[in-house]
Amino acid sequence: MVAAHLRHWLLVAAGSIAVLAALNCPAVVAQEGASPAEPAVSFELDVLPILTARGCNMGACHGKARGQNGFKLSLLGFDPEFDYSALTQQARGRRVFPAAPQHSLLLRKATGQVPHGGGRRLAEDGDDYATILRWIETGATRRIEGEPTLVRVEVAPTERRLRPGESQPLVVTAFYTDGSQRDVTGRSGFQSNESAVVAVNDQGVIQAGPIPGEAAIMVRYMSQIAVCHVSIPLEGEVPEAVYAELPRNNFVDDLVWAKLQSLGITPSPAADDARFLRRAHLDIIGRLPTPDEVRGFLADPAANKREQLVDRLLDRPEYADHWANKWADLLRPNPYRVGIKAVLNYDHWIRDSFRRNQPYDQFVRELVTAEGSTWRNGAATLFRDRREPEELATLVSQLFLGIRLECAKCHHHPFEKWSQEDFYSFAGYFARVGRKGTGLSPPISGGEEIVLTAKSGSVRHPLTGEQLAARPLFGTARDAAENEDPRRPLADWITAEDNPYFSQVIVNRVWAELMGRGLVDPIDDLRLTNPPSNGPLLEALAAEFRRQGCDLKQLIRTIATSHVYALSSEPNPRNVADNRNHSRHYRTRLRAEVLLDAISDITGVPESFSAMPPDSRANQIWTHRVSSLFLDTFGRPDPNQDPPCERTGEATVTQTLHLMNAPQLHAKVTSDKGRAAALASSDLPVDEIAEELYLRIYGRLPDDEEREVVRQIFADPDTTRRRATEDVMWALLNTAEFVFQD
Amino acid sequence: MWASLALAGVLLAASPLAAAPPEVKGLLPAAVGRGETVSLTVEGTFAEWPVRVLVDGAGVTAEAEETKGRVRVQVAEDAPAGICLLRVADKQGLSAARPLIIDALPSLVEKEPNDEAKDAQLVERSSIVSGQLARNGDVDTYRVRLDAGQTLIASLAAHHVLRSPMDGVLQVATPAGFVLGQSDDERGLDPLLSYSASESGEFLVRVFAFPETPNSTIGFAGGADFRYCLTLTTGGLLDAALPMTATADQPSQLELLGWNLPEAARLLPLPAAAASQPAVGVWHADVSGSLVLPVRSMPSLAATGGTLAEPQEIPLPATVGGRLTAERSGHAFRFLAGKGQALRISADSFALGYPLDPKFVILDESGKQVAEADDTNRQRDASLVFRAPAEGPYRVLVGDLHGQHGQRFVYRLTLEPVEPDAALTVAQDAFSFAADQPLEIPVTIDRRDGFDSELEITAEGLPDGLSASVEKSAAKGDSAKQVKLKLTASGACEPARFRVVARVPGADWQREATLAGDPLQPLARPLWIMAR
Repeated sequence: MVAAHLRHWLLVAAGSIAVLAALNCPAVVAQEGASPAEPAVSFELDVLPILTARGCNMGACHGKARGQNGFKLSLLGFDPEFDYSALTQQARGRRVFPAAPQHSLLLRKATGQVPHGGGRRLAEDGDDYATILRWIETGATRRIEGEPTLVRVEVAPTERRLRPGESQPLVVTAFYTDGSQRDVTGRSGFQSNESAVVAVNDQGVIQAGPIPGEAAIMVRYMSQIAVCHVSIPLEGEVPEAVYAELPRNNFVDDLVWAKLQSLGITPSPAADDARFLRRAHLDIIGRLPTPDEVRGFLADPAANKREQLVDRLLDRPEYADHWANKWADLLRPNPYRVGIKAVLNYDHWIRDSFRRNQPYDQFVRELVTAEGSTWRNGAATLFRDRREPEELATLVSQLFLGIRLECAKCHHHPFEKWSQEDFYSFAGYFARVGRKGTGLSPPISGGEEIVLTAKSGSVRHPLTGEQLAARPLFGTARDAAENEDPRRPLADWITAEDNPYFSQVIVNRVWAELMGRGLVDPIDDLRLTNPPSNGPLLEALAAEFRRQGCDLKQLIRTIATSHVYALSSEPNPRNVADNRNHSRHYRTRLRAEVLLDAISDITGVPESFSAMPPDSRANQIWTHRVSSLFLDTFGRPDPNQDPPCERTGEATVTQTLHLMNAPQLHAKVTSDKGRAAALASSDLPVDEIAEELYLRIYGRLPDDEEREVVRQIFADPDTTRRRATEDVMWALLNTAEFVFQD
Repeated sequence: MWASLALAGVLLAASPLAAAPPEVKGLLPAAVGRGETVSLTVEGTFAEWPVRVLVDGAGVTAEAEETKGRVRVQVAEDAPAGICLLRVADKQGLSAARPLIIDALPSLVEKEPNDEAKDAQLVERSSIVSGQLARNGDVDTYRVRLDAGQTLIASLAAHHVLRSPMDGVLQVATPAGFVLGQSDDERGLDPLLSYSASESGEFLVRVFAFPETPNSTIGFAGGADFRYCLTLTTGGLLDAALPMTATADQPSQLELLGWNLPEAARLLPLPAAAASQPAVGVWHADVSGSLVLPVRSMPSLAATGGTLAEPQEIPLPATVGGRLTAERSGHAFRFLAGKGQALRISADSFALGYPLDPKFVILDESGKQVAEADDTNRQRDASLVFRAPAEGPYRVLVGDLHGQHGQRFVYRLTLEPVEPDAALTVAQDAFSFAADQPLEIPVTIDRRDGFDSELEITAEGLPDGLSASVEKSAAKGDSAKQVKLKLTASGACEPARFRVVARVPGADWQREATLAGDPLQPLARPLWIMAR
């Protein structure tokens, strides 16, 4: 039987592809001493792909951290050295038995000749069985002399538009260092990121579902990844003129319209002025417009009043607290772990950066290279909280590059190219973070700690023990000069103009805050296998962000002055299913702090917080440990949770019940010193009370029907003017129009 | 420095019952302006009233008012700015001293309620406000008006000078409560911040605190002893003077550093100070704040920004004061040392109230590093004893551990021969005892660098009727580290200053005891005694 593994071999010579007659081809790699008719089998190129393709080294089987029944393989075959040792040396070498290859435990288990929890994975008359058998027969060697190594894989096609129900086979080709390539479709893994839109089977055949949309099909062969982008446009023709005539304020509109056109989606109309005003206020400064601001904006005849509004809001002091508060979720640790004072100063450092509108690259640089006392330089608290190079590597790569490395800490990343060596080499940049002073001593941990550059320090590969030099995840970075903190060249590399991840992850984060969903989702997970919904837009925003000196306010201005930002959330028949391409505005629930501040402003009864000066707003709180049942109910992060904490904007029954029944909220609405009491005791007519409440709570005037409802409430003979005012206020606070940003 | 003794003209009245000596816990206000006369509250325990008020401070007089706990303090127009000490005495004894800050700015006292913005206390002109965070959760809020371009300096003196058990925080905020600036630790645990107004208007300054010893309470701390002095000024504020020492018996000129300093206050002539004077006060009539510089019998130099390639030549011994103004900068100095010569080299800054975390390296002529110093005795400042391995030139490079720099990054480098020496301390600054019962004063001796001389220790300058034993401190044994002076009285005597002095018999060596752990050092705090 001719070695079955050769059937897929292709040879590449001088750029031209010569397809060999598979069954008659000579061995691609001939082992010294072996017969030309008996081609050598490569462990890495032939055997391991079989184990991966048959699921032996999956996370559920022998690939999991502790292995299975004493037999452990590296996850998905990412560590050939380890796997070779596991097969040939561990278990007293009985897994492969060169003296009687057919009796090797590897083959007997896999074929079900002896009981195997994983069932029958190989057929005795199959090609894979023959390949492994041949490998054992020829000495079960680790490497063949001159053996090439895998360089990359490619999938064809890389992009495809399908109609609903249509299918398309994929072809996966592996490329090697010697210029050769092979079709590895049969030994590749496939996964769709939107299987309801586009499914893919084990053979690599993609199948469009019934609903329009997009999906990325991930192809994995050994340690290499490739992606095929599939789109299913909405059926039916939309005249080009529809898109040509759409308003365009800046490049954001151009690129969003282009994407919508490619999918046959049409955008919703623009939101009215009142909605835009409320949206911009809540997004940019985290507070509602006052009735005077609403009236003034609605009456303003200026054509560019929306741009003027955005500029005014960006200059407001609330801007810094609102945006710093978002970053506090990502950075600010538990004070019971690192100490109250360290957190207070860290929070101040974050807020001060936003007050000064510090360029984002400087913000990151200061944080990544922070030194000094945790009592004086708040940024140094990062290194009090995260103490190991591995912890810092995962945090920094995720926050500032959108690269999730956590998997690579224990094994090669299953959906990405990152190996353990990549991970620990990157962690090496933090190997010389030194500390002096008082370390952690929870639950108080009140001491002062000084972060400094240690004279030495290194990171070792957990398996090989090899001391790894600091190395960036991709590209090149300068070496640290003598006595220089390695974090400085790291900061240079992270913030470098040619590092696309750095600018893309921040513009994606800001885009998601303003638009309700990131171009990449999750927002801090930029990878080939999680492509952006609009790649050209992400790239253009990132380029513009760079051009504007990493100015976050300018980035917000660019997005908030686009026409796309101002779209209505009302769907039309051609965008009702769209939840990725921003053909309409996506409504979001107000953040906990914004909601509480809004209620305080509306009721005229401020909230009082411990460890905060009077007159403070929820958006200014320096730790999630400041107790507030309201904030906890509306999803602020658990103070015991380690940052970064991404919030979920989901609405819950508890939140609804809290708004309806919480005694604190009731007390605000019914306070003798509150707004309802003041309105009731004023001589304002009912219609004006209704206007005041609608303007404060919804940022708009009531319509005729709403006015009539309010009149009826006030006209009820069983109520008082005070109670009627409170009832209307309470009712409006308990509506989605108040709780959601539209 | 301590030029006058003001004794209130109140006679000690005989009392049939013995009672505890008076105790002064705090003064309010704790700061008084030059030329002001104020009625201040002396918080404490007083078995009887009126009391005698004793002041160590030039140009300051004080007397008890009729109202218990009230003292009238008069500060002369020409009184030097700085810290004076105020204590009281009655027939039972003496209280420990409390510091009273004398400043160029007028004084003001905090008025509650002032927690909320609407109740913020208006500070109409640059002032030094004395206040108290009287209870947990207390926030004191002040209102100031700034013109566009004006720089407000807010500086809190609480933990360091007043020994308040608080870790204060300062904020500058808009009238609506949006924070514009915040400071936590700047001079030790005390905050200081500057804020330049881009627009004219009113601003809030908030003071709140956490306890000096961190705990797990998510809340502001307060209490009767949470006292502070808050300087709020758009005028000059003195922060440092270069060089950071005065040379004994030589006049010199200081470069004053700080904020908003008028041109005329940037250089200050310093008259010659006697070698016996441990320190000199530095102040300027046109700016707030004051400093105390030690007087040393060696040249005091200002750093000229020497580099390793072109180091600044300095003699031995010497002190050099400098400021790091560029990122990752250091100052290099070159000195000549003989083979085996032992030098104590110190770089001080953090303990003096500045943010610089000093470190230094010593290089030989070839550029090889031969010594390095960072933290010493678990303190941020750096010190070591350097023994020159060969005769020749050496360079010392002084910098900040983190390569930081800035307006307040000043340091004092001292290079002096290692000579055996000893320092004496006592645990109290006031002693009172019954005439019929001898008094024991424990004196702690810190022998350094092999100091093995026998000492004779006694009390001097005692008032008539008091006598002290002469105790010997041997080079080894218990007496090497501590002796107990025995004081006897022939009868009651008035409160008086005295000194605890150590001498080496037959040698010209003399040292005076100071108060152990005195936060006001190098200011020499007088010791007081009385017998009843």
